[in-house]
Amino acid sequence: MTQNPYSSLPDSAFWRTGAALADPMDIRGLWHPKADIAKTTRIVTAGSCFAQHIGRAFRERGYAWFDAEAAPGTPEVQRAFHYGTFSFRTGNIYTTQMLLQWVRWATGLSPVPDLFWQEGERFFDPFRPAVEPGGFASLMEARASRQATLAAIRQAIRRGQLFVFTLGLTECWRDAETGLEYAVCPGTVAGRFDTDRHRFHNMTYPEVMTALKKAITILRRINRNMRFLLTVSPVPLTATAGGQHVITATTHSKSVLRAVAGEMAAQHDYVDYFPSYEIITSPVFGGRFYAANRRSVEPEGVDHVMRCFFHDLDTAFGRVPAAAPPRPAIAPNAEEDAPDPAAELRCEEEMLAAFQTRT
Amino acid sequence: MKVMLFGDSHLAAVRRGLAAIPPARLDGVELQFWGTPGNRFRHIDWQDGRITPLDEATANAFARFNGQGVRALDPVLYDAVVFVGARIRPGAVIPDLLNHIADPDRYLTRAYIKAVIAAQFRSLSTYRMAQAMAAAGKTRVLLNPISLSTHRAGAAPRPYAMARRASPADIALLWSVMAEVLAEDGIGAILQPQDSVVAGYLTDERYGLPPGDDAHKNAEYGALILEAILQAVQRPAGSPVNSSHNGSGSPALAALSGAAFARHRR
Repeated sequence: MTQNPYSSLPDSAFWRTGAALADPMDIRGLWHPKADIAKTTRIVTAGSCFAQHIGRAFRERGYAWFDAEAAPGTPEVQRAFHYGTFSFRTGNIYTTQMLLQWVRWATGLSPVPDLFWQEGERFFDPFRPAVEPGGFASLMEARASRQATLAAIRQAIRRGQLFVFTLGLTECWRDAETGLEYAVCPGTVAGRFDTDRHRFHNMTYPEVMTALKKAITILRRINRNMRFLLTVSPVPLTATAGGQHVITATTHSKSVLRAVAGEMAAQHDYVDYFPSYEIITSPVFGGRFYAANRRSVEPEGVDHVMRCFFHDLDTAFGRVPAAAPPRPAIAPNAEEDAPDPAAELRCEEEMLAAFQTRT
Repeated sequence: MKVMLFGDSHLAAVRRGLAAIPPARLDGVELQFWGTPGNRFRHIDWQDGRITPLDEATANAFARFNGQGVRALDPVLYDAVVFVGARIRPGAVIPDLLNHIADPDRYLTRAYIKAVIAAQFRSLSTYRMAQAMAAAGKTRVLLNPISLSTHRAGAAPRPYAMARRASPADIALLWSVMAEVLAEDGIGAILQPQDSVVAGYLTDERYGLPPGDDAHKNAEYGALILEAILQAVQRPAGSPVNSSHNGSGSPALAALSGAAFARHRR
């Protein structure tokens, strides 16, 4: 048999040896990172809901995930108000156009629209309608809160070193008059649907690509050292308004996003692509990472994605792949469960002195 | 009127403050103290409608400070029960909240502030006892949480650069939210006087003890709290409590003015 270009390729280049015969859970080397990520690298995460898992995984492993809009309070309270989910409190940014929109507002390249939805006495931000449970108490509150998020985005742009963005959707809803894109279809999470004003749009490959390029260009103009890591959400569409079956609409949407992400990574040395999408959706895994609704990704799937991520990162830069960190233990209540002998002695003395009691 | 003051070592300031209260001011009011240092609070629980020590040593400790041998706190026996200190320390969240509220680049909604304070309070076992006692409806329940750390006393507190710039309106906002959380739980608020707060999130050193103890306060502070307690219990139940007694005598909400009011008004 003569030599050919395939003769010397590694097992991973062939489906039979790289996929069909391999134990799916042992498959590694799906990602060849372009640059190392140090524990001190300030990592910004944004995008579709899958991005929140990436941010959390960085945090749990001691990486410098950058919370540009940190808030006080317990993790439960923060979660309920969408703090600490992404690097800023935008909620999910599903499309590249939405990312561009936020970046342009934060950097002053576009005026921030004074558009809010009122329902009864509550106010909702059309561009992040779910961040405040039950809506804002006043228009002033809604405005001030959005301004704080824009300030946080500016911080993230200025100080971030790696921007991880998860592309989620191509389908979106826009304002017919202004062209502004809403976070979700008006009338679903909040707002009222207006057939004259609210238009469905399914972004094409060139549109997704152009918006992403523009956003990255703006970010790099302000922070020329910013690197980008793109991922595509493996979570199928909840619903499609495009007229197709939701399965074909999902394939179309994800294919466009995957192609854009790959192309951006191919074109720019400062843009990388991590295949979390493939790790969850590949037939090799037989859908094992999906929940019963065949849509949500189980924690086991997220863990596996992140194990692959850190394995490939460590391997590429000559480190022994680190084991996944144990699940964080529940912190004791500092008020009640952590005795401080010195403080307790002071308390004892105070009581004795005031009440003049002798033991 | 029988009033039980129940608390930890922060009760000491109130006990000392009693000396500064004119006897006539106490006409018709019988004050009783039931307290013990905070480490013993791990050994009490709300059982059968009473706050009950879980062991003999704890029961003895409470009885010793009480002076009348009371070994469990039965709310039925009192017209009002005031939790003083009692391990409930808003200082665990107040500086951090102020650090955000006073930062012009940040913003927290009133709902968020309330959620943070409510979560902190309701995570504390003594607070849950106050909730349970109020829900039982046998007596009036009031709470005077632990005061903020004393300025220039003890170890330097964690620096909260923005909180240091907090305005009286910012403080008033937090105080009004605290009172709102307590009111939702049926508890009357006796909050730290707003004009005793300095450097944003600390207590004026004039109310402190000698350096080395930034937690406890002196008799002068205790007298302020005791006066507020007397005002509250001598008012009919359900009437508005001027809980923050900010020096001007106006309620906390009335003190909301300026930037914080503008940013947080509904």
